[in-house]
Amino acid sequence: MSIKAHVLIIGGGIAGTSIARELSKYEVDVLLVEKEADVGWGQTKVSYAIRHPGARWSPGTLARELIVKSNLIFDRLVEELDIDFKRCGELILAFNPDELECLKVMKSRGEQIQVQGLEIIEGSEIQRLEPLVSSGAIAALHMPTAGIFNPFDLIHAFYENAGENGVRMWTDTEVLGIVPEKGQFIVETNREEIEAAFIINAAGLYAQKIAQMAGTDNFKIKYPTKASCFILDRAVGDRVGTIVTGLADLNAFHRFKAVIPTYGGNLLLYSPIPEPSHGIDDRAVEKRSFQMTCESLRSLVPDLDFEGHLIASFSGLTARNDRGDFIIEASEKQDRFIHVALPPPGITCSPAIGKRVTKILKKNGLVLKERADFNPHRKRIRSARNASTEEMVRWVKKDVRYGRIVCRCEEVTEGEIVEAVGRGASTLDGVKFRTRAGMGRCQGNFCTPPITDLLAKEMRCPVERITKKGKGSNLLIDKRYH
Amino acid sequence: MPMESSINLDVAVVGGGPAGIAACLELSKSTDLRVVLFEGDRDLGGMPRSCHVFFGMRDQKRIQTGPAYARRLGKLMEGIGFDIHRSARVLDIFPGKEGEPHLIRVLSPKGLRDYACRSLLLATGCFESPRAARQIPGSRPAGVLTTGTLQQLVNMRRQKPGRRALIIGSENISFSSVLTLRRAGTSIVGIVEQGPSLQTHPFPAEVMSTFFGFPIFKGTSVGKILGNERVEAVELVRKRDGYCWKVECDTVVMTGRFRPDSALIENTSIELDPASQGPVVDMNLMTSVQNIFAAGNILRGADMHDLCALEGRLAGRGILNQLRYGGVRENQWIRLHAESPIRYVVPQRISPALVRKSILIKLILPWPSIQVECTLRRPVLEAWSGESLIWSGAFRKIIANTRIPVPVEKFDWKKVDLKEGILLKIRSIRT
Repeated sequence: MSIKAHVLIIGGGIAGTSIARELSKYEVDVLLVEKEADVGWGQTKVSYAIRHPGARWSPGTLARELIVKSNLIFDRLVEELDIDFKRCGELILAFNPDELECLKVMKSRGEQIQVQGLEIIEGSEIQRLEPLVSSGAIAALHMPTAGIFNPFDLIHAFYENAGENGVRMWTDTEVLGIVPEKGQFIVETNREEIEAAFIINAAGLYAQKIAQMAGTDNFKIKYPTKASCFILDRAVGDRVGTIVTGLADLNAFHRFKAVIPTYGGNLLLYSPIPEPSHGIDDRAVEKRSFQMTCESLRSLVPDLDFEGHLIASFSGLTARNDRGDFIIEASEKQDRFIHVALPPPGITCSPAIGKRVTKILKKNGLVLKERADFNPHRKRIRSARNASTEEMVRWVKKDVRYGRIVCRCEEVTEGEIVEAVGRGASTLDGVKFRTRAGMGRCQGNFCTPPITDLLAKEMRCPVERITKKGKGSNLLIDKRYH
Repeated sequence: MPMESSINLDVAVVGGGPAGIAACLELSKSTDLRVVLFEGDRDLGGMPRSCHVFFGMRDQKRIQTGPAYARRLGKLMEGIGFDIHRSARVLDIFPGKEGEPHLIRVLSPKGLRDYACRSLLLATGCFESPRAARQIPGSRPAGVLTTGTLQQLVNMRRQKPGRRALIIGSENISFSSVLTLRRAGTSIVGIVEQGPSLQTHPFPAEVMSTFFGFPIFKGTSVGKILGNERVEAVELVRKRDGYCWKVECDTVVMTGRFRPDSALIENTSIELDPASQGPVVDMNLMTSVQNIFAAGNILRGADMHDLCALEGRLAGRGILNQLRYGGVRENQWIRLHAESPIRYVVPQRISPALVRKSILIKLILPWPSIQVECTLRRPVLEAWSGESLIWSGAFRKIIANTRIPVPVEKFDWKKVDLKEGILLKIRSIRT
C-alpha cells in the first residue's frame, strides 16, 4: 500500500516548514517528511537567530535578493504567527583602516537595498550605544533594523500553522530511495511508500544525498567546518543589548564573529573557528573551541566574563554548497524535482523561500488554487515568564497547572509543558525548544525527571520509552530496578 | 511591578529544606509571629528526600535515612502550626527600602499572590553546575546526568538510568552517587578526577573503590563523550603523559561543583559575593539588606544537611533578635575576603564586638569558615588586614570541600584596619 501526495517535502528544517506553510495557502495535497523526531533539528538548530538587514551580501546573489524580499514581509509574519522579534540593532566593529573600508562598502550595499538608518559611528559614540564594547574599535557600522528572534519559535510557528491548514507532517520518517516513474516519483521510506508528483528537496545537510537518490546531482554540499555556539547565563544577559559583531574575513562579509543577545535573555557567542568535522553526523563540541571562541570574542567585548557564566554549548554543521549561494531551482533532469539548499542565513530568508518555490512549482505544471479557508494565524504557547500579573492570575484560576512551576530556572509551568506536548513535542528536547524548560542555568538538573513523567502521562506510554531526542536516546534503561 | 493587594506576614521563609524548616522550628518559640513557609515542591524536606543513609547526626542526634529524615522534618514542621504553602514558587523578591516591608511574589496552584513580610529568610539551597560549565567536550547524547537528577530517578522514582556508569568528580557526593548507582544495579566503570588528589577524605573513598571494585582515575580529564543518541563511550586523557584511552559506558554522572541557587537575589539590591556566588551575610546571617536573611546551601553551595539545619536554627534566632532588638548596627561590621586557593569564606562580615561577646557568654553564632579548592598538605592559613599580619595558623592538612572554621577570636583585633577589612590567604609548603 502506498500513500499518495501531490507535493512531497523532504526535510523539516526552516526551508521545509516555511515551504509547507506557503503551500498550505493553496488547495494542494502536501506531505512533509522529517527523519528526526521533531522539526528543526538539523542546520536550524545551530542558527544564531539574527534577522539581517542584508547589507553584508554582495549584489547579485540570491541570498541578498531573498533577504530583501523577506524583510518586506517579516513584520506581517511576526504578527500572523505570533512570534517573538526584537529589533535590537547591530554594531559591526572595525579595528583598523582596512576594516573601516569594509564597513563603508557594507554601508553602500545596504543603502542600495534601502536599509534604513545605516550609520558609521566613531570613537566614544560606540561606547555610548554599547558600553562594554572594546575601546580599540575605531569605528562601527550601526544597523538599527537588525533584530533577533528565536529560530525554534519561527519553525514551530510554520509547522503548527501548516499543520492546521491541512499539511500532513510525518516525523521519524527517513527517505531511503526515490524512483522516477511515469511522471511521478515513488519514494521509499522507513514507513510506507509514498507516491508524489512533485518533490521538494529541503534536506539541508543531506540534500546532496537525496538528490543523488533521484539521479539529479547538480550541486555539491560541503560541510568543511563546524559551527559551535556557546550560551551565557542570564546574569550577564543584559550586559550587551545590541548584536556586536566583528569581521572574520575581509573578503566575505557574511563570515563574522558575534556576541548576540538572545530572546531568552542570555548571550550567545559565536566565532567561525576552523574545526575539523568527522563526517555528517558529527555534532561534538571540541575541547578547545570554547577557549578559542572566547579569545576571538575578547577583542569585541574585553570586560565580559565568559568563563564564569557558560551554561550551554552546542555545535552543528552548516551545509555550504559548492556555488557559495542559495540554491532554489528545479533540477536539470527532472523539472518536478526542486532543490532548496540554504546555507546561512537561511532563517532570515525563510519567509521569501516559500513564495519562490511556489513560483517554480507553478511554472513547472502544478495547478495552484487559493484556499478560501486559509487561516494565517497561530498563537504561541503562553508562557508564565512573559505574562503580565493579571494574565497569570486569570490563567491559574482557569487551570491550576499554570500555577505549578516545573522548570525553576526558566519558570516554566506544567500547563505550558502539557500544551507543548499537545502541539507535537514528543521528546524532552521537543519540550525544551518549545517552552525553554531545561534551558536555564541548571540545564535540566531538577526538571528532567518531572518532565519525563509528564511526557509519559500525556503521551500515554511507559516512562522508559521517553527519549531525549528520538530513537535510541532513551533516558531510562528500565522503569523499575527491582 | 508588585500587585496592589498583598498579604501581610511577619516572617516569610523561602525553601522547605533542612535550613528553612530548622529556622521555622526556632521561630515557633516565639508565639506572636505570623510565619509562612514556601516550598516549591509538593513535599517538604528538600534534598535529603532523594538521598540515602547517614542523615540527622548533628541536628537531630540520631542516624536516619535521607527520606526518613525529610519526613521527620516535615512532621515537626506540620506540628508547629505555621502556614505551609507547597508547590509554591517564589518568582521575585522586592526588598523594601528603609524598614519598609519586603514584598515577595509567589506562584502556586492557588494563584499568583504577593506577600509583604517584615523579615525574609532565603533558604533556596543549591544546584550542580551543568555540563557546559564544566567544559566537558564531545557530543550531547542522552545518559549524561548530574547527581541530582540521578538521585531523583533512582531514589525517588526507583527508575534505572543505565547499565554502566562513569562518575566525573570526586567530592563526597561522587561517592554517594556510587551507592545510588549500585542501588539501581548499575555497575561503575570508574571515577575520574582532574586534580592529583581526591576532593574528599581519601580513606572511605578507597575503601569503597576496593569494596565495589571500580578504579579511581586521578589526574585525568574527560577528552570527549562519544555516542550520538545514547552515551557509548568516554575518552579519557591522563594529564601526566597525555595518554588517551576509551572507557565503554552508557551513563555519565557529573558530580559536585555545586553553586548556590541565588537567582532570586540577582537584580536586587542584595549584595552577592562573587567568590561563593551566594549572598554576603553577617554573623547573624543577615544579608546586606536589613531584615533579609539567608541560610543553608544558598550561602556556599553544598554542605552537609545537618550543618544547614544548624545554620537555619541560627538564622531563626537572628531573625528573632532582629525583630525584637534591632540587631547590630551596620558600621560595626568588618568585611572578610579570601584569596585562591581558598574558595570562599562565609559569613563574609564579622563584628569584633560580637566575637568578644560570644566568647564571654558562650553565644553560638555562625562562625566564619572557609573551604579550599583542592586538598592541601601542611598549609599555613594567614589573616591580613592591610599590610599587617593579624593571625596565622599551621595545619597538617586541609581536605577539599570540608568546612574549616576560622578562629577569629584569636585575631589581633588591635591591628585590624576597619576600612580595609581582613584578607585570608594560604601559604602552602606543599600541595
